[in-house]
Amino acid sequence: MTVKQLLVAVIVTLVLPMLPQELYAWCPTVAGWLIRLAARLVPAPHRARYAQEWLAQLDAWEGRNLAALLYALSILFQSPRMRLALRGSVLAPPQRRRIRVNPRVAYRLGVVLAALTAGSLTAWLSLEVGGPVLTGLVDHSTQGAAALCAGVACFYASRRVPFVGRVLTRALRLGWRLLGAAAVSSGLATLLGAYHDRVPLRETPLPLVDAWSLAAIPLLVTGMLAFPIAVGQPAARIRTLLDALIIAASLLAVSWVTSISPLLDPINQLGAAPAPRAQQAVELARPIFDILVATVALSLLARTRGRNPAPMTMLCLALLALAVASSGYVHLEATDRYGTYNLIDVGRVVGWLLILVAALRPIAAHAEQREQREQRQSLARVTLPYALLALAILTMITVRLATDQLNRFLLLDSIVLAALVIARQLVTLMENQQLNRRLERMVDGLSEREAQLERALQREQQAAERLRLRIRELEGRMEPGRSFKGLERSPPESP
Amino acid sequence: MTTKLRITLQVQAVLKVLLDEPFGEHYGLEVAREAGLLSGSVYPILARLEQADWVSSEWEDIDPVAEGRRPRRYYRLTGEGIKGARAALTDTLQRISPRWNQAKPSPGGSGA
Repeated sequence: MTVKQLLVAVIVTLVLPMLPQELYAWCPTVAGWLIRLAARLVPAPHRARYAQEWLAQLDAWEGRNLAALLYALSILFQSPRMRLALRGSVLAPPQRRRIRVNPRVAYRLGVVLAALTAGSLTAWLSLEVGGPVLTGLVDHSTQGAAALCAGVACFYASRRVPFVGRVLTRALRLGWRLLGAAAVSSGLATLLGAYHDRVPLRETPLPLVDAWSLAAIPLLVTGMLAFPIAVGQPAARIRTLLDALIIAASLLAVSWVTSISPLLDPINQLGAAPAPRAQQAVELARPIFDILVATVALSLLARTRGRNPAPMTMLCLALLALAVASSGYVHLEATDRYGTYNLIDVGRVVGWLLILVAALRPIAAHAEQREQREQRQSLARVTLPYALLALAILTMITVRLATDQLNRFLLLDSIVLAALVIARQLVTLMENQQLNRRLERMVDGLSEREAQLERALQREQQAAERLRLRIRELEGRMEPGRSFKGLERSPPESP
Repeated sequence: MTTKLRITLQVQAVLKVLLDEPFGEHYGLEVAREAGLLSGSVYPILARLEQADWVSSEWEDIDPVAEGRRPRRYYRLTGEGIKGARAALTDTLQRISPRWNQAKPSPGGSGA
């Protein structure tokens, strides 16, 4: 058998039988494309509205893929009439003279510029071009500029949120605005800090600048939580809360070892003048806030699935990058290994640039709830809290092996973690039991229905049998030449 | 501002559906089904009716996540639309009726 024959055989036996099913499954997607194409054919001011309106009607064809495709084709064929009907429409909003930016072009440009910026900064910091002073200045300026650009992009994103229902649209706008405020606040604080490093200012003490920078964190966290996420059953909500607490406790263990403990360690402060209380508080607040940011990011990452009106995965990764970079900075600063700049700062730039790119991402003019429902949560996301738990346990074991003792705080944290894991398992057990009970009830109902049907079938069969016997009996009685009237007069047989 | 509207048969079908429930809200696909039109052909008509101020439309206020579907655009007749639609349909009926009357066999006619 030649390769060609083998290929034909594979196509005939494997591909061809699957083809109709595949084509059928692709119908809704193709229908979506056709509707977007049809929307592009109507006058520009009406495009977004009709795209949303027609796509919303696609939901009515759920499960009827071919009908959805026919509907989309019908819309596409009528789009020239639609264009004529809407030409010179009084409904068109007044055209304002403004610079129109193609969202796709802006997004691609944003991605390329972000990658170039991150790469260039990494190279600059690694090679220390122009000496440490200039490198430090470039590092801090890039951080500030990246945050400010991200802020502007977030405010831009809040303006172009499509209408996806009043509640959802408001939530999306609020989320972007809060993220924008956080980015602008952090950017200004970073630039002021960089300026402060060059020109010491008496009026703005450094802790105040740090505190300003920290003020961005609550805005960042609130912004992320403002984005709409799917709300589950009460048990699922408790499970999500427990997962978040497991993540937080695990991160606390890691942060305690890497950042908080070195800050509190008196050996590190030996020989140095005691820092003012405000500065101490700000220094301690930073790793704690980082835990908060990372917990929110990881919890949302574990919950996010499918397409979302907001690019949650990208935003969560951005928050993680910011938290890791910030904690890394605290660790290096506490162990006196951070000079005027460090390669860890690239993490912060990457975090802000990811937010910028997420804000520039072209928004689908609809929320794909159906796709969201259909897509199942990936195993990696479900096991995310346990991965962090494993990291925390590994950290504790390392500490135990290195110092031959376990810190009281870590011991307490491990007890809390154990309690949370037990509670999580109990909730899962309860959920499973509920599910089992529901399934049992369904099976019982189905069994009962099956028994009823069987009884009905038996009755029908008995009746049919009796009828058959009666017919045979009547046929036996029927003699040639005898009229049917005689039969009618004969007494009826008992069944 | 209103524009002159050409009352075709399809427009009449759409107006009839809207007029059956003059204060009700209808979405495009529903109107198409009830009017017996192709789903695509109803939107240009609704757009023309909206331009003529006979119909107003607004987005459905729902939570898409809770409802499991995207919000629809609902259309309803305006006051002017109700009057105009009634007048247009009555006018059409009056124009059709004489022919129907002619076509009907008279009770005392020769064919009896």
